[in-house]
Amino acid sequence: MTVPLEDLASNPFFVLGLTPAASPLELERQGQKLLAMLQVGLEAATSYPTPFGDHPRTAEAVRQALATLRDPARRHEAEVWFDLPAPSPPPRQAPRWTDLRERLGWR
Amino acid sequence: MTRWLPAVLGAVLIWAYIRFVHQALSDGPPRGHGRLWAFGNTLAAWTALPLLGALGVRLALDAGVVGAVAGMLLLAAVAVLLVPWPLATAIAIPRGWPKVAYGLARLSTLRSQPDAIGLAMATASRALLRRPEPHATMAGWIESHGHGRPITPGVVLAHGLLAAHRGDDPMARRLLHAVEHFDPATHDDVVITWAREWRAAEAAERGAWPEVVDAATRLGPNAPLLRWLDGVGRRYTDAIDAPTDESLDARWQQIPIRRKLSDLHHACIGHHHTTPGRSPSDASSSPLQRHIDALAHPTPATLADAVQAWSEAAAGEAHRLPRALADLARAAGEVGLPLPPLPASLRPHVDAADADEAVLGPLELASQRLHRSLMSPMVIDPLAGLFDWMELDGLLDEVRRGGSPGALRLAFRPTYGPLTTLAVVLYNDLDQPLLSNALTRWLLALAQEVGDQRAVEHQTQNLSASLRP
Amino acid sequence: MGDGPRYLGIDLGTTNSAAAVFDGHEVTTVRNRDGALLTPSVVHLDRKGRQLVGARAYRRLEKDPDNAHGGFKRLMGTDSTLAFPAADTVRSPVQLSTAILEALRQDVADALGFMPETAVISVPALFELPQTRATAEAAEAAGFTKVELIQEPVASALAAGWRADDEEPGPWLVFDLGGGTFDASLLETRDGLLRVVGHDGDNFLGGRDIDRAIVDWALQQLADDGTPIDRTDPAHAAALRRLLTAAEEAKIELSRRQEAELTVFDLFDGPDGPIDVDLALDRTTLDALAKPLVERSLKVCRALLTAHGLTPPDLRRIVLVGGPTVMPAVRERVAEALGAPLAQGHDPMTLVSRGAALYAANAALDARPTTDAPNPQDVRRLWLQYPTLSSDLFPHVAGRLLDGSGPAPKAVRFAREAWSSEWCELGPDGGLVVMLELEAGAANTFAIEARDAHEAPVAVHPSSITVVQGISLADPPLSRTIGVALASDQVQVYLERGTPLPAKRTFTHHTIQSLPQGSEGALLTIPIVQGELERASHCRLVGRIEIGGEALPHALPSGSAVEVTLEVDRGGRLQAQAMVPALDVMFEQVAHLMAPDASPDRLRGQLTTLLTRLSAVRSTAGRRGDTTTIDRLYDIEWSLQDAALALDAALGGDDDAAQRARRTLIDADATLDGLEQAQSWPQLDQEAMLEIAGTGRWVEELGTQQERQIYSEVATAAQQARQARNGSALQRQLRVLRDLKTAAYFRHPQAWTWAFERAASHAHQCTDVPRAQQLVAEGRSANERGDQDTLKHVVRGLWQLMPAPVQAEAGAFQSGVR
Repeated sequence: MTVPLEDLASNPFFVLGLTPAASPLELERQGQKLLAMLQVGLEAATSYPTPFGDHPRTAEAVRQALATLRDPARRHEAEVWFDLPAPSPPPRQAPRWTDLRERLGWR
Repeated sequence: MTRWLPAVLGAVLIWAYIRFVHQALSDGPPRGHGRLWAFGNTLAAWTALPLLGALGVRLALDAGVVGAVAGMLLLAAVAVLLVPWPLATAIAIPRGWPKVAYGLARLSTLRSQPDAIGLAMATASRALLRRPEPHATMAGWIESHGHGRPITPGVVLAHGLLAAHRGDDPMARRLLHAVEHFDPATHDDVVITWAREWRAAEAAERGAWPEVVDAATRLGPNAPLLRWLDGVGRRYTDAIDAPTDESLDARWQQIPIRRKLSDLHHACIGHHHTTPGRSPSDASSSPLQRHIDALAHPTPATLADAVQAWSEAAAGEAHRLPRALADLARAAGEVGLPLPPLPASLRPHVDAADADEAVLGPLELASQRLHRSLMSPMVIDPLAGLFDWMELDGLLDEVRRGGSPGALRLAFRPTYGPLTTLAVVLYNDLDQPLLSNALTRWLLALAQEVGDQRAVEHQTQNLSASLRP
Repeated sequence: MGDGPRYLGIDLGTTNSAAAVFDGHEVTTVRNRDGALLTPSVVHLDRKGRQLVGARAYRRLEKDPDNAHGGFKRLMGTDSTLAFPAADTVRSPVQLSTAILEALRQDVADALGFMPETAVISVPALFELPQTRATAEAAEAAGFTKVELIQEPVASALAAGWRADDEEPGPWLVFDLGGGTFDASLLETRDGLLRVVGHDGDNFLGGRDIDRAIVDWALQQLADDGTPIDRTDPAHAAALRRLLTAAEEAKIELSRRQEAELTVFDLFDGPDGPIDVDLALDRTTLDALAKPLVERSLKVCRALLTAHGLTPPDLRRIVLVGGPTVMPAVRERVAEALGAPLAQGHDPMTLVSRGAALYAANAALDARPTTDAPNPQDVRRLWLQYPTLSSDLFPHVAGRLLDGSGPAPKAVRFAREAWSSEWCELGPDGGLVVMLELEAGAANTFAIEARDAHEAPVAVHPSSITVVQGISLADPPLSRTIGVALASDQVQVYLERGTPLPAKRTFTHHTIQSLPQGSEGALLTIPIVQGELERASHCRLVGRIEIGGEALPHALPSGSAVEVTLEVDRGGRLQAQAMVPALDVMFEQVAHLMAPDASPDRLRGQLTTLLTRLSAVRSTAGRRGDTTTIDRLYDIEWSLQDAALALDAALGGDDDAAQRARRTLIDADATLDGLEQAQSWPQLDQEAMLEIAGTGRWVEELGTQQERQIYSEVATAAQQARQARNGSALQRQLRVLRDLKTAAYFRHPQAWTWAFERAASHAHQCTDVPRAQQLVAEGRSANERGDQDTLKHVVRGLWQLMPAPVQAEAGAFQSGVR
């Protein structure tokens, strides 16, 4: 996954599992709940869904998400990039011959 | 009297041959007489060694156990001296014995002219590559053989392979690519083939098939493996002149080690017959869909499609543009592709200056350092000069990938100035005509790429001057 | 003195320190053994090395000033030591702070009945990283097992906003003028969440500066009377300290009365016998002396508001914190200048310690010693995670059943007096998540009930938890931008000022030189800097990751990747590490910089340079009639005068003054830099304009089609750069334009002749004059013959012999990475 796509997948709303309709109070509550669950190591909190697949969730990511959404300007940016489509199946792609050098005696 | 003559002749020949071997292992051939010397050496080998071999057989058969052992040893030594090169490639390299490989390569005098030591270093480096862990002492031993000598394609190849051994593939790529810049008249078949093979194989590992084609499709020795890789690369890049199934098969049949590659070969043949995924030009998709697709799988086709989609997008999407374009550029840069040229309507949304600053800054810094070291009174080590050149080469690549379309032009002057001076210093002061010549070729190619007429003329002139021996 | 957690907060101030305890209901400031709420931050050592701390030591400042020291907070994080001649020893600022903290810890133990294990200690918000670390060290040395740091303005805000139910929403300001530092914080409370929006301050502005102003005034009075005191003479240092103490007392007195006396007997021995000081100080004089400093603090406040798009009328209220804010001069001026009401009902001297105690609750730092009493054998343990302090009325508890012996509960619920939750079934991994309902404004204790599969009650540990409902704090912001200095004197910013803490960031750099293996002395330096300025050399160096040649398994070639991670915890403590993928090794030794080099001689040299630059900028500005620049220059000049005075004091042995001077000079350097750049822009702009036009003409006449195409693109880009006032981008485009011009120029038939004449005229400057002259002769004959080729060869040869300008590049802090 390319870095820009990972950035999009780290949208704070995805991390917290909420939509842009969430109020500040709901955000804080959800954030606190997730942090507590992660601290204790509950499975249910360790990943979150995105249009590009499930992503691991860390306490740091949750804190960062809360901080971003507290700032009105950054929250707006997150709202703009919330509604994303899933990527289409990839076009026919050329393969990688990952062990070629070994086969040819270059390793 | 006549009975002793063959024995005396044999002894003289043997003594001459031993002298040859000794000289080969120490200083190398006298300059300018490489080919003649090699020929004479080989002739001596093929006459002296069978004599020794015969002697060995007689000892083995006639003189009892001790004699048998001595005879066997003698035969083994004869074998080694007779066919050192096949022994190097078939035994020393696969076993990963760099020192043995070096010695055998030095002995194979016919094969190794005119750059005996360079080829030997390269052979040793190739053997070292077979060792899984980095072995700094051995690398140092190999490098030490190059000290104080002209830097030749073989030496550069050796350094490249040592870089690969350290795990620094990008540096290895650059050095092996630099081998191509040396005067074609000085090309050693083995060196050039090995360099191209490694580059093509490494590019194939990354799935960078255009680079595979670039490495494998060149004039020169016609190794079957390279011809086959060239064909495969053309198939995978959907080139117009890609070979047919039969043609590719014919190429594959020529390769001695084809059995190890059979599954890859058949996968390539079968590749064209699988159904493709979503066609990138499905125009009903929204710009956002095509954008996401390009970010998920950046290829020239998907990137161009996304750029196209954004340029056609409605005004309502305009607020997405700065980030979208920046993200596309980053995704493209990750896989080493340039972003397609932006249509005029999109250009205002891209902040070129910042992106340029990020790639031009380090390049200018490196250029200033090189300039300072050239101006200082201390003598430059030619090897350091080679690595400085490689560093600037790498930084230029980053400019091509990550900068705006005009960035290469901005990077030209800081790169061109110090490197031109370096080429002069290498030629005049450091007695490195081959390396200087290679650098000049590279500068010429760069000047042509940028379109600086004056520089092109200047370098063409330098090139013709430095070709005079 | 009941059960329940106790949260301890300590304000370690420049002048005074205080401690407060929060028990979930209210915050109480702890009285020390003298019965006072404040403990002066002064330490005294007598002949036998016996230590006095607090008020008793403070009294010694008058009588035995050589052996009593206060105000060492400003020296935290430096290598300075303070001398105690009677005990024949020196102490570091950390050791002195430890002494204060030990005393406070004992006072708290006396009040609570147990020795507190943990505490939250306040640090000024702009405390640079070495100072923060020193504070943590002092706390650990004082016996605290766990310590968290909180920024003082955040603590004040927490205390001020704690029970502020009737406040209208909107931004408010904390104006914290302490003994040594000034902090202004912009805050916002929303839905019970307190957020620090922004922060600014001055690490060298405080009550002590007012004291110094008074001392300057007193010295002036003495000088007028014919008894000059030489500030630079170390012998007079003790006398000056006594005078300072007296000044402070007079200042405090003037808050209550209209007039006070500044009296010191036997200050020092003059030529005619001992000198006494007996001056009358009135409020008017004090106001006048304090005015410039108060104005400086107001300037910071205004800048802070502007930076966040606010004006003074937008503020809802102002909370004053710190001893000097008791002065009527300060209160009146602040209220008048910022136009917002001053919040009432807060004691400015103890607000910080109270806020620290509340923060300790937020951070769940219970000060009670952890009882090692083993819980009963057959009781299963729950690992619970919940906020000990919550503004949300419906917080969540998350938990997990730990392995152990004893009957395993299948469901759990939380119950308090007026409410209980539903039974929550434990998940397959023993996990549970329950939403609690809190009673507002109280400490809510929930009993934990558990039952097994047959609904029979089962015991669990812990058996209850307590959640206090009240304002909670959003993550505190980082006070200064932190980054890595690059070899080009730029900064790679890792964490921007205002980033909520804790925070962590990683970037990949590349080395610029090869590092050979096994060689001592060869060092790769990755400097970590703090500050908002563009040039790394203007920022404060706070640490260095050093990778030595000996540590490498093999040589590291130039251009190798190095991944650097910087991490700052909630209290502002920094951790750094560097990972070299090629070697697969992680380096974590961060050499923390203590004393920035502040030798008075070096500083004096810097001062002279700055004054020269100042006058150059002034004369240019004068010529252009640039009044804005001239006004700004007055500010710089004033601060340079201040620095000069501080340098004098530094010569007399005042380390604090040396640090102040150093900081002032760096700030002046940065400001002058900005002004110089702004001045040089018109010149660059004009040069660009001429170059664009000139090149256009040459290319039009003699350029190829391709060159004309390139020209139009480059000219557009250059105009864009001019528009954006981007100096470096413009320089680059100009280089290309010059190349184009040169290419076209040399197609002119006469071009080489002209070039030859020019080069020949410089022949005497060449590095190899005889050779140059020989070439000139060759060239002349070639020119007459019309032999272009030889002429070109000659000209190129001459060019090579010309001396090249040497560029000195000061890599910032010897940074080895780009």
